[in-house]
Amino acid sequence: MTAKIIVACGSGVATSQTVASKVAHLLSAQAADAEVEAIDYKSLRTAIRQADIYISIVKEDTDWGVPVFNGVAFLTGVGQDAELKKLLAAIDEVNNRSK
Amino acid sequence: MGALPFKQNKLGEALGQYKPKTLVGSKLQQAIVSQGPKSQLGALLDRELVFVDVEAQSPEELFRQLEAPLFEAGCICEGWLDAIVAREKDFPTGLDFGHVSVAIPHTDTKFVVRPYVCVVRPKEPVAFCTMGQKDVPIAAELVFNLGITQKESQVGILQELIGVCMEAQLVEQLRGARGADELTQALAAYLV
Repeated sequence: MTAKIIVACGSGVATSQTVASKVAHLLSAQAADAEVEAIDYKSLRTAIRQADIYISIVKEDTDWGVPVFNGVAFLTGVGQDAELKKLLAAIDEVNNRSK
Repeated sequence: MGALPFKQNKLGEALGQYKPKTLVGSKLQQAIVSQGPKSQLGALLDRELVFVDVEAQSPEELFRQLEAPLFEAGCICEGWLDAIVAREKDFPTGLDFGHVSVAIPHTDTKFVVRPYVCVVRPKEPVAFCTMGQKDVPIAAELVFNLGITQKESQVGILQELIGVCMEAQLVEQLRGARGADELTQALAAYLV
């Protein structure tokens, strides 16, 4: 099934949208089967129930029960390749789950 | 800098909700607008909101110094200072690009009267915490305070700003610029 990825940032003003658009771009270049959505941090608790993967731009102490990735890497490009590789592996895992 | 004369009254609220369609700023900004820039960030760039050699020991000290000029330029409304200080504590905005560390503080749209970008090159780097890692400080050599009023249509502004930070050669120019005029020109030349 298509992997549902959510990106959340503190303000929900622009950072999560920026990261989401960057990730969506990178994933489409890899033909990954995933959809990416930017959300407000305030709606994280609700949104994460429908999500397979969470890309975070805030410090996370909570275990959300889904794989969490470092959104800042996609913002700055520092460590981006490594993070993308791990993200693709997580998407693969979701894709291979029974429908 | 003293207390703001502005009070949160009905006029203030009205001003807070006022979203001008046409930006009026410095001559430079008008010149860029009249040429029809493709760059949203370039259209916001205003020499009057570019500061170099600002002395600040903390993000809060830096924001305090920005409050008056931003208010006078009609960019923010009362409450902005407390809001941006609190937000930076809860959701820090320091970013380490490898070749440079910057901070991109921004706050809730309700404290922003019109979209703007304020660029600061502090005299000494200011310690901001890294985005996503409250306990990891970075030494910000450049601070870009973004005023965003509509997150959907203005998301490109942040993307452009990230592009600026990733451009090592441009960052070198911003570092070496002798004064705010040169810094503004270097940015404007890139953002066409």
